[in-house]
Amino acid sequence: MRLRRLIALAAAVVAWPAASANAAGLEDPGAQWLPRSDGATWVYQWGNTAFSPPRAERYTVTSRTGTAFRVAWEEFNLRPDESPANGFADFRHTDAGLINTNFQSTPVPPQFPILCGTAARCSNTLAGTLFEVMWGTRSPVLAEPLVAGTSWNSVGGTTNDVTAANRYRGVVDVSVPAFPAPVKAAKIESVITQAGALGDPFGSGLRTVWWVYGVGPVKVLFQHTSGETSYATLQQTNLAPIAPPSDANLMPLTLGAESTFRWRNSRHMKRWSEQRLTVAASANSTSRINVLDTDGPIDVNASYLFSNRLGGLTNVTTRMRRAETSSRLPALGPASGPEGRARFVTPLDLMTYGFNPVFPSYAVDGQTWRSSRESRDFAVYGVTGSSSVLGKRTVRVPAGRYRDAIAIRSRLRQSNHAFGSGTRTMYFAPGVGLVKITFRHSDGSTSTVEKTG
Amino acid sequence: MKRRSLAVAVAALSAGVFAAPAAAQVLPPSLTTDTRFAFAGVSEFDFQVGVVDDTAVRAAVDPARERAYAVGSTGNAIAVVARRADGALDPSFAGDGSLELALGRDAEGVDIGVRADGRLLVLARTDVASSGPADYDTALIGLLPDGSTDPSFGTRTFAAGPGDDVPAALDVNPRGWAYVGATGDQTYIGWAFDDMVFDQVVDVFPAVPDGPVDIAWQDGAPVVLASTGTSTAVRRNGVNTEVAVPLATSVTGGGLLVHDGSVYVTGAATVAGDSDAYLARLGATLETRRFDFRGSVFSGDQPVTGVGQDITLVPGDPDTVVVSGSSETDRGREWGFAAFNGLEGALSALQATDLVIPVAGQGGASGVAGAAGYVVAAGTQRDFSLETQSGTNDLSIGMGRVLIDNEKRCDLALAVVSPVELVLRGRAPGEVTLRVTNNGKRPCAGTIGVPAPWVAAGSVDAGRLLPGQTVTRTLSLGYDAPFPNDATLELSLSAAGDSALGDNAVRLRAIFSFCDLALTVLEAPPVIGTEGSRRFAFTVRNVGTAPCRAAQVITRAPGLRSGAVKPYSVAPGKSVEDEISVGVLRGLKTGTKAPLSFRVVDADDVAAANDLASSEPVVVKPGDTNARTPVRGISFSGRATKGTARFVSARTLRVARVQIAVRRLGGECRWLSSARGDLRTVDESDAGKCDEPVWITVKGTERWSLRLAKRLPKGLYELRTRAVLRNGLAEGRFTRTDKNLIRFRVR
Repeated sequence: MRLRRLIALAAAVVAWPAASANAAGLEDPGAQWLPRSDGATWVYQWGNTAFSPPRAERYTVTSRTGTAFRVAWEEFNLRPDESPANGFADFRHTDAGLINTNFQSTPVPPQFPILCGTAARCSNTLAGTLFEVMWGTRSPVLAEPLVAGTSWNSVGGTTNDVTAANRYRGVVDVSVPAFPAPVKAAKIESVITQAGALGDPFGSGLRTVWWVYGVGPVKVLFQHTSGETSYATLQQTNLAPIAPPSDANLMPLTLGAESTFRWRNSRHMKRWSEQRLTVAASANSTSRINVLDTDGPIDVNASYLFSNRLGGLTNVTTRMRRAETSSRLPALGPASGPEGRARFVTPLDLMTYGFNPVFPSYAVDGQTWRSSRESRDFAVYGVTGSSSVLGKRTVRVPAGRYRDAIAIRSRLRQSNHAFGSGTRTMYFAPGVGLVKITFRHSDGSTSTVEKTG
Repeated sequence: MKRRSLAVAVAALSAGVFAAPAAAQVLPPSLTTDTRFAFAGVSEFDFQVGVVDDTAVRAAVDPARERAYAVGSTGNAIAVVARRADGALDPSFAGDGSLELALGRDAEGVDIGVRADGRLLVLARTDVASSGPADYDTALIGLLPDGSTDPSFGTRTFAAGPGDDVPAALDVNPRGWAYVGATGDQTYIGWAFDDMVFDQVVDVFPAVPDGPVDIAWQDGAPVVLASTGTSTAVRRNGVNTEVAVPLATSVTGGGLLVHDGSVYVTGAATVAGDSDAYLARLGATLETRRFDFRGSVFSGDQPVTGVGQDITLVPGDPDTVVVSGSSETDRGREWGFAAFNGLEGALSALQATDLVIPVAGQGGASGVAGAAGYVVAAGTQRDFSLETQSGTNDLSIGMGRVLIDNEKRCDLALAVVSPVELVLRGRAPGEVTLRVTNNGKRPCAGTIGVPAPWVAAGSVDAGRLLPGQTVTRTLSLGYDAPFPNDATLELSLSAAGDSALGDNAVRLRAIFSFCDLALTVLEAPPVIGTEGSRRFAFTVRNVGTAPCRAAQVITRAPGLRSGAVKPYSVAPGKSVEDEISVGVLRGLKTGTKAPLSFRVVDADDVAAANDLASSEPVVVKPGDTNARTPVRGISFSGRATKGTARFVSARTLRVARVQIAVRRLGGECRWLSSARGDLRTVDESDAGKCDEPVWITVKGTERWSLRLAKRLPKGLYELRTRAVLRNGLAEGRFTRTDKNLIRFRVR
């Protein structure tokens, strides 16, 4: 009878439903903000209110290797006296977003302002849809994961002499001729600056690009500082829109953002250690967080580098300039790790302890990931275990009450170190970040991290 | 084997929606003179030099030998002429392609039929009188394909009636033959069907003299066309149906054809003094249609006298009915042909084309026989030009060949409608929607070819497409081979006679997005207990190209996995470590090896070969503890005994330590945390239960005890004890009868 029950249990185990995971990755050529599907085509109409009447361009994915791909274009439907412009642009999908690696085209139309310091051999241009999209934003063209609050600075132009401050403005409905009904699009606003070019007022301005997941940019509006407007709209495509992934941001790392936390251990450090976290630097969705103590038994000055990629939030490196405490926290392993023994000094130590990622880029309830002994993290922490997204919880901490906080529970085991083993539950509020950690160590103590401000 | 696909993906073909544009239709038939057969359109043959009458009345064709026959007479003998497809006399027939066959005092060939095996049957009229007035009887002569007499048939001469016989027509089919003729004022029919011979005398027009014109088979019985000279009727199943052409004062018969359940008749109809050829169709009703043979020779307003003399079917797609005859003007008579297709429509709506072949002198295509793609016609040519009023009036055997729909080509084109790129996700088949268009001028059918190792179940038949017609097909394609990262799918469209193959193939990039887990053992204990479980660790690597979203390691008997299962994701190219607790079924003897097998499973995993791992730990009976009921919630004590197993070092079976776990019942999940007597709250397990004890090591082994620094708070508790052997094996089953599970209350 028991055997039957066990067999039934085993059968149920086998039939365990897969965690629904709509997470976007790099492996799917079509599920991208700019698909690299073989033969994908787009027809745009673009123009400028002063320098170009509406013109039609056809773009096609002409080659692809891995995540790198080439989009070639050519104008059509021109008057007999006009020459069609053509060219290509090379892109690559990376877990930091879409990167433009190269482009080439026919000469710049002479009627456009000169977007270089001298007219000779100037190949900077805004004459074309893709040029409008990439102007000042070649690396990355579009940052990922594209979550609320995402912003990035980028450069563009043939000599990277154009800068852009880009900001994700959320998902909006947009209507373009390519689709019979409005489609969901990610709206990206870019403040573009060009300085030193003959036509830099034209090269500067405010650009808005509407990106549709599974299709690409469907609409571009470039309001030049010099007063003209460039525009482009998608007229036809053989691609179909895909529902975009969630844009909930569980760990906003906005440059200059400050927050305060406190933490303690129920047995080994009963006084709260209060610390201030500051996002001191940010580039390409990688941010440095400086941590300074403000009160309590820990004297710390540390920096943490976090990278937000399609693979999730990853702690790239940690640097402790100063870490002293009057509390006697048990030692952690590994005794001979490449970075020495792990330590719990700041709330971020408790958050990153174990293995990466801290959380996946598009967290889904029930999603579970595990450690690997073949990873760098195991060499550093010597920890094995798993992490799971528990789902939404309501959390009350000194900084406030957070509904819809995403709870992530990790079961960690550090061999021969009870303090390094246990169950950690972290709570991340969308748009806020980390708000609470409860780490029940196997030695019986509990560490608690709370956001205070 | 890596990336080994077990997938013979379920593949299915679903028919798409036919989208025949309005322009999609069968085009009118085309008629082209085969100048290769006869450069001038009609070739002439005379058996003898000089002015000797050589006549031809009917034609036949042997498609297997690409041979055309004309039958008639030369002088007083039966004449049969055989030509090859290139128009040359066929020397494999009668030595030089011409056969002069004397029979009685006088004989003339009337009709000829080609049997399925190539043997010929000639219907002839022969004067059997040895002297005096002529006495014409009917003769059936069997010939072999080489022109010699068919010994199995021979020559059968008979008198159909007391008077002179006038045999008229012959028809053969695979199961027999039939002929018709006149004797006196009666019509006689003879036929053989499945080796049974029948004969019958009928009178189609009882009130007036009539004569038979043609005969054909329908449903195993002969159908006869008879004419009085001004009226014509079809006799079918004993029922006579007059061919009534509206407004016609005279309707003569020329030829008869049975096709697809209908009887087609041609001949001449005179309306207001103008003779036209006609085509009549007798199905459920009688339909008629008059026409002239004009081709590109005679303009529409030029007076033309048309006569339909014979009719045949050209099988094909579409089937075409061809009428042969003559078109006469004041310059003489020329050979005329008219072709009709779209036979499923009303007769008046049939698409038609005509052709006139001008001949030297005068003549008409009195006989015609069709094969796929062409007809062969025969007729008598008179060497006299009305235009120049010159010529010898010599009669010759004329033969011509007309190609049907010769310039029409099948041109199917294949195109991919969707997707832009085929992404095969796991073992699921991928759908490809294809568009097949007939850009040619003739209907044709095609088949979509799917190359191995791609598989598409069911038919991939695109069906028959009319010119201009487009059809879509959605194929569900699987891949029956180890999955590559990507591949190119090349689909082809094959169609018989497709003239342009450049648009018959499409290439589609295919991406394989699949999960493929590989399992290896990372840690496996050397011993396992007859009770409880031990931890096994594995490396689970995703060697596929897509994330595995719900991986887990399972085991099967005699192994038993304990604890909750929480499937996890593994990114492509990465590995994770999985740990599971495994025990064994009861009944395994100690000292033996437990054959444990493990398997990593994921619903999306495409290859099973690398999913397995195994371990063979030795089965050991763990130590055993007995606990006394705790005293006042502060003192714990008991005994422990070592483990046992055969063939295992006794040293490893000694008790290394004894541990206890004390849980406070009720409320949240709280366990004794240390010898200090403090309690700790523990998160529930993955199963959502309070089933992960906090173990505290006590003093002693065989006799053990623990005294807490402080008394437990008041409440109900549950004590578990376990002995841990030196080999790491811990007691795993806790029952009150074993005295290692005790419930107690602290007051």
